Amino acid sequence: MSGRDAKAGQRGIVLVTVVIVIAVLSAVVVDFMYSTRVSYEISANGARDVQARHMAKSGIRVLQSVMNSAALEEISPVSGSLYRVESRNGEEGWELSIPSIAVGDGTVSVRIRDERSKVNLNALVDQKSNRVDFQVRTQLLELFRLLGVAEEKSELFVASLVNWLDREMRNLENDQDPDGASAGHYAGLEEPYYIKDGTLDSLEEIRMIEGMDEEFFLMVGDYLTVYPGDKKVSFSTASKLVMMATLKASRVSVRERRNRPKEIRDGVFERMAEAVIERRQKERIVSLEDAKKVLAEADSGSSIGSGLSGMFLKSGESDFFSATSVGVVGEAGPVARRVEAVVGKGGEDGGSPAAVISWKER
Amino acid sequence: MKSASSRRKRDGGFTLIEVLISVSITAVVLTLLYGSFFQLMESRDRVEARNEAGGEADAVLSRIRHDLSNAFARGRVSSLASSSYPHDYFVGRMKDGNSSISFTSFPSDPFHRSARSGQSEISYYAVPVREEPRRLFALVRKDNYRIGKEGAGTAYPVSERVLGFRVNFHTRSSLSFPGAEKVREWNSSVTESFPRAVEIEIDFELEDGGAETRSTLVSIPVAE
Repeated sequence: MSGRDAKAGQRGIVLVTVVIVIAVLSAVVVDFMYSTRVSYEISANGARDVQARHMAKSGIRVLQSVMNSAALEEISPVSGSLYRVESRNGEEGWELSIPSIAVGDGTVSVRIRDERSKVNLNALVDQKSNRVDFQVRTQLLELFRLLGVAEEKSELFVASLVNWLDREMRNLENDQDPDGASAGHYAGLEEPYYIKDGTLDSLEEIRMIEGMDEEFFLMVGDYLTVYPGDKKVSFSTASKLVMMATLKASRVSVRERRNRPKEIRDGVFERMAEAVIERRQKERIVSLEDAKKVLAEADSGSSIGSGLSGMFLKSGESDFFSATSVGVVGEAGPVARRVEAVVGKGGEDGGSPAAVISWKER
Repeated sequence: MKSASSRRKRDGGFTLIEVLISVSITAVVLTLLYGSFFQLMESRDRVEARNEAGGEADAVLSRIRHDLSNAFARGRVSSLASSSYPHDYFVGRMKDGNSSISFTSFPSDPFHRSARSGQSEISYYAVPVREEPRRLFALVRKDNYRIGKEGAGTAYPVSERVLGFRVNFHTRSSLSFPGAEKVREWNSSVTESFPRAVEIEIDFELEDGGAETRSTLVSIPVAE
């Protein structure tokens, strides 16, 4: 072997060693950087998630604290440097929204609706006497008709709803509407379940009831509620269609099924509802007499039912509000969390805080 | 001549001594590097395994937290609800050292039929999967949209390395007095209410045979 060959061999070993060491080290460093980055992103995401959730919750807390000191439906829009409050109260009914409050490096937005602006499904059957309230029955059927639901569909659903709500008790008639699905129907399904025989706990529960399908639900869902303690509808916040259905229902008797409303054209009720909407843009509706005056002005033929007093709620008396609060954190790859809650007003004295009735975190 | 011979000397190979010294230095350095390199890799693997176990624990606890936050009192939500409706919407029991809970909730699971009504009866309970060397459990989550119907619902394990699952229930007063005795059982048909908060404790088995206890306190918004 010549000296020159040996020299070349020595240079080769060093080079190869260096290359191997560098390769191993870079692989280790790259892997380390990658896993560090992944863990960092996971933790950062987790932190943003927690932050967004708490921000969404805070939106509901604000609603709770405001509710007892002020009648929400009477809050007027404000525009400030920190946030602005928007409200609308047209044909679609009342809604209060705070589009964006900046909190730290995120935002909270809240949208509030009055549950008293909707028709109360649970008021259809009295939970003590098991009797059907025919005003509510008419109210529901009229509302569905105005929304364009086929008559046989709404008849089947309302009859099944009666059986779903009425209770199994001694001396009381259970599953009393022969036109609706009864306990046996649900027991015979491929995946059987029990009939409730009690009040609805959420609006979506009606999707378990015979006659309600996806399309029907999407058409009527926004106009229905399950939370309030009676059938009263706030004329200060209700939509045009809900008011029309309520005005028509106020003309029938609570007890008597056969007492059908005298046929009055929808146009009359529409005029009356529009008069209420026009009036409430300017000032509050503070009493039933107040409302009756507005209604009578719209229709001199006096189509106002004597049953209106049992279905009318004046301004400032709404006691259940639903709110959707969304918290968003982070600019690049923001994390959003939503809370949908229903809050009920506290006691008369305002001493007890507004209570959370329903809470859904998404 | 002189310059040629000195160039040859500069270009020439290393002496034996030089090679021996460099080889032994390299050997020492490589041995040190080798040892610490593998030690580093090993500890990194250990940390990653722990992280992974922690990630699983976090996922399990966050699932339970989500279900509990969305709890509702079945038959009691409407202001028109009758007081004679059955009230078993929140039940917690303890048996053989492990807890089980069952409650009605709006779980929002898009892959499940409960999406239809949004309501489900959610249960968590431990099922033994191994006896030796120590008892190991699977923590099972059951989602039953056909509330009250026995045997119905979808059950699947949320973790299969659970050594213990304990739940404590807090009322407003037990939250204000941390020293108060722990409440291990809850029955809403007796209390007619939700616990104000629920404390979840899970012992997880780690891959290296160790154990780690993770816990969380979940408040129930509708109980406030």
